[in-house]
Amino acid sequence: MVAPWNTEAIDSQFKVVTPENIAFNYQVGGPFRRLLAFLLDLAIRGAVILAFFLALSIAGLGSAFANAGLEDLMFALMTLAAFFFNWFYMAAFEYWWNGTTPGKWLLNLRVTTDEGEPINLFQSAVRNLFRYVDMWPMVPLPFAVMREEMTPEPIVVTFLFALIVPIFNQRFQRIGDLIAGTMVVIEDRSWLMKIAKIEDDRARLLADYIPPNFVAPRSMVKAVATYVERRRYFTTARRREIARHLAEPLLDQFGLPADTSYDLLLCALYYRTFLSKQSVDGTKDDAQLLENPTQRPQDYSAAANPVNRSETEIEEARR
Amino acid sequence: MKVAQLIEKRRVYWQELENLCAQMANSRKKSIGARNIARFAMLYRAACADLALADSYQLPPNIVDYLHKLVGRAHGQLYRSRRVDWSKIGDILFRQIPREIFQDRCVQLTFWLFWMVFLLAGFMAANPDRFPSFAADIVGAENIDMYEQMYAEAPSSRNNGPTASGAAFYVNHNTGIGIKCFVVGITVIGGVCVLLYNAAVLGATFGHMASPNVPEEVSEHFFEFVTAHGPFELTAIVLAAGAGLRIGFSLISPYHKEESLQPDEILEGEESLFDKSRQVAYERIDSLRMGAKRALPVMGASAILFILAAMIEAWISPSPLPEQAKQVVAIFCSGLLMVYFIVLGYPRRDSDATG
Repeated sequence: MVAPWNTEAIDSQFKVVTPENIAFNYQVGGPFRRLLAFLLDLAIRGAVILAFFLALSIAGLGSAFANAGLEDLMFALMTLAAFFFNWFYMAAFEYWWNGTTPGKWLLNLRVTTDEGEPINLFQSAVRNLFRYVDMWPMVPLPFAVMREEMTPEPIVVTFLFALIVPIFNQRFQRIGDLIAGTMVVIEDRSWLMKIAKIEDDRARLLADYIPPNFVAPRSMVKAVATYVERRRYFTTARRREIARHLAEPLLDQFGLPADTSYDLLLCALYYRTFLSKQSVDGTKDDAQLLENPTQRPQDYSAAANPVNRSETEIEEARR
Repeated sequence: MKVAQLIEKRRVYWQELENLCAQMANSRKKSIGARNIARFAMLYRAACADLALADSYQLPPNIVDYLHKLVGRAHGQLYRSRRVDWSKIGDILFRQIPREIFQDRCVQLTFWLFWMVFLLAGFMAANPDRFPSFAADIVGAENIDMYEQMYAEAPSSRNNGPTASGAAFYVNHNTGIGIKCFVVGITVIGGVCVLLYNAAVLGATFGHMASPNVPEEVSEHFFEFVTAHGPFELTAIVLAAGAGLRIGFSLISPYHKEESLQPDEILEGEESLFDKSRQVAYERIDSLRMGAKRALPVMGASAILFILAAMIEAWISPSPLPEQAKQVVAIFCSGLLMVYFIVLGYPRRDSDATG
């Protein structure tokens, strides 16, 4: 149970611990993206059925079959195809396509288990069969007494279950998801990965005025990085307003003049932390530790095992 | 610390991993080649290590985000959905499922409910002098007229005899009803209602056909048609509803008997007050999952019965075979069901030994 004040609950991230004992976060798929994927799948199914009937009627396949005396077989195959299409389209795709259907694939969604592992046939079948319950409460009027002077089967499909159940759990799981133990995650396939560049020379100059023994705490580094990466979206006044809270005490601490630009100070701190040659804690030799084995790939085994790595660090520190 | 340089160096590997991920998603594993797979595994481990060390490197948050996504994506390609183990299917079908069904209280409940209501409705509809408008109220007057017209002719001459499209139609229609019956069982009340509705309508139809209101010829045709596939189809409805109720009840009561659990599922037990068996309480969501795990094989058996019933309904029931032959089929099917549920399903010692 995730505590309500936990940020994981707020930004719908879900932590997965892999067999390699590494924890990473999955973004849980929200209801609107999933609804869109569902509608896409629905459209694809409709298009396939339409194409099928066009082929039968316009292209003359139907009459060809009838001439060959295979009309009965054709109807049988069509009915069976419709049956599997109706009940098992989603399940089959999710099983063979590693948890995606065409609609989900287009919207970068994927079905995984609660633990972030791939789903099996049982799970894909269950979570899709129970789509029928999502339409509930349906309001059929079964007996003849009840449906006097009405059309044969007035059924109201409300989709209330599909709307209400996902609200009451952390991962927007439908009833089928809850039963099968699955969730839908977002799996981005394209993204931008950049470190913000500090073009302003004044920031670099200002970085020299930050005391060399100052080590920014981890949370402050995060805050500064988040600010600098997004500051281009803000106006100057807004930048000043946001940066003030962190910059004022820092200016005080560094003994810099109080009229220094707050924005500039945070940029300088960012430059110091991520871009400058000078190490944050003043020591130079750990730069060598961070050098990566670029030539020989086998050296990755050392990097993949943090325990070994820390041992070598200790050894090098002894020297 | 030259974080920017570090990232520039690593980025080459990350992008290679990205490309491999895209390749693996688009093509089958065998066509990628052993070298690429080994390379993928190595790059994945390296990315994992980068992610683990990202905090101590003090990488900027967007790089950490990127690494989370990259590792997640590679993880999804490395651990893919597993194929089904078909070698165990015989054991599941002929050993586990019958025992499950024999012991399942929900199937027992739906069995009694279905047949009580069925017989009661049949009895009431068969005595129109005492309950004059019963059948018309339950089934609908226009439906009854339709049935009577349908069975005015002998089954063999009615719809051009046995056809493949007929078989497909019955598979689609009846299995669809069965799946709905199963799925709706999670709401318990919904499941019971669907079951009772089916029992009442079927019972009333049967009863009405046996009543003196219907010409003898019509009722003979009707029973000739339904005899052969009746046993499988009615049993399949009971099983589907029972499997659905199993899921619904596992949500209502998160207690499971200890002897019916797999060894890895047993948590701390709790002695039941009413019968001397140890019960294990789960969180409701886990209980629901276990209920589904036990209900799905039963539903599978039900689906197989539905398909068999559809085949009989399409090929034997409307065929010009003599009525006695269809009765023999019905008796044979009932015998098969008995053997399956009682002989194969009767609890045995070796289930304790293996479980």
